[in-house]
Amino acid sequence: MQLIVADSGPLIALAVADCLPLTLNHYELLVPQAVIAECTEDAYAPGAAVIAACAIHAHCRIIAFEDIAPLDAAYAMGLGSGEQAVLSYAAMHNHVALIDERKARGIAQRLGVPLIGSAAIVLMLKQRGNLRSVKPVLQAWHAHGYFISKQLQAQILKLANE
Amino acid sequence: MHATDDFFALTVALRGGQKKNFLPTLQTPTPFILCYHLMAQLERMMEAFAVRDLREHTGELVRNAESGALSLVSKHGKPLFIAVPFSEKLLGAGVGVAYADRLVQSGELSVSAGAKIAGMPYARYLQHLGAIGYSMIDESADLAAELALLPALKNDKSRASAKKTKPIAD
Repeated sequence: MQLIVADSGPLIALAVADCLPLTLNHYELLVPQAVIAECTEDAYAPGAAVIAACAIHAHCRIIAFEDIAPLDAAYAMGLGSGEQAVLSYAAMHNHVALIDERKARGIAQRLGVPLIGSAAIVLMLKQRGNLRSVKPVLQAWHAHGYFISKQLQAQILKLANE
Repeated sequence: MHATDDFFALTVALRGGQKKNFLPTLQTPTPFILCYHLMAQLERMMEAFAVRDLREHTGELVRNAESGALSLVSKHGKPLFIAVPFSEKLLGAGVGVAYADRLVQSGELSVSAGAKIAGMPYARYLQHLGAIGYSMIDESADLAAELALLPALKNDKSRASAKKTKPIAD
């Protein structure tokens, strides 16, 4: 059965826009320990406190280092430890990977791992009535210094009928 | 003073920083004079190699780097590049971040791997990438297809509760 294995980028993106608890209302996220370590390395970094709270209160399922086999070296080159853990676990258990990052998404496609990103999650939250508008999410990303292009913003707004 | 320190003193001087006495003769340098003085300084402070001799002197170049010294490589008598030892000081000057940015932007490295090279936490590095216009979301993502995939997932709690069944565990 397919579950979602989350990478650092989407966790941070959802956390800074207050969408992580809403997402966890719909989906149980599997989060490798390496990803938690990346997100909480700087306790004052955007989203770190929210992600740490989710991990501590077991709102998401943490996958321990020892439960994840190393990713094949042919795929691992150029990836960080969090992305490797997400892809390895998702590929091994036929799960969906929640990744925004370009390089890791390319490797996921080579591995045949189904992909979703944080934009799709935000659109899902809008569809299900958890968000009245996706605009504040885009504004929160911008306010925290996270960039997405005007074209992508327009695409998200169009799919959200805004 | 160490050659690497000289290099930094020189860059500070060229940027109009405090160590202006490094180039005492330059009050209002034109590019030509600046280049002439710069080359004279560089040749005094570091060993020079010609490109055609580089193969025979590779060991020397590496030893220079290991000892913290800079090396100047020239082609047809003109300076081509400077080999700068990769040190903590250099990383502190932003070389690691610039190197990581370039590799992430070219798709050679992921954001996570780039953050490691830049010596920054993931979330901070992602902010830094945002400041230089790097999209945190892959722009080639097919959002409609991703959105269509979500309801089919087995851990969709909304769907499970709609059917009045227990959420399915892995």
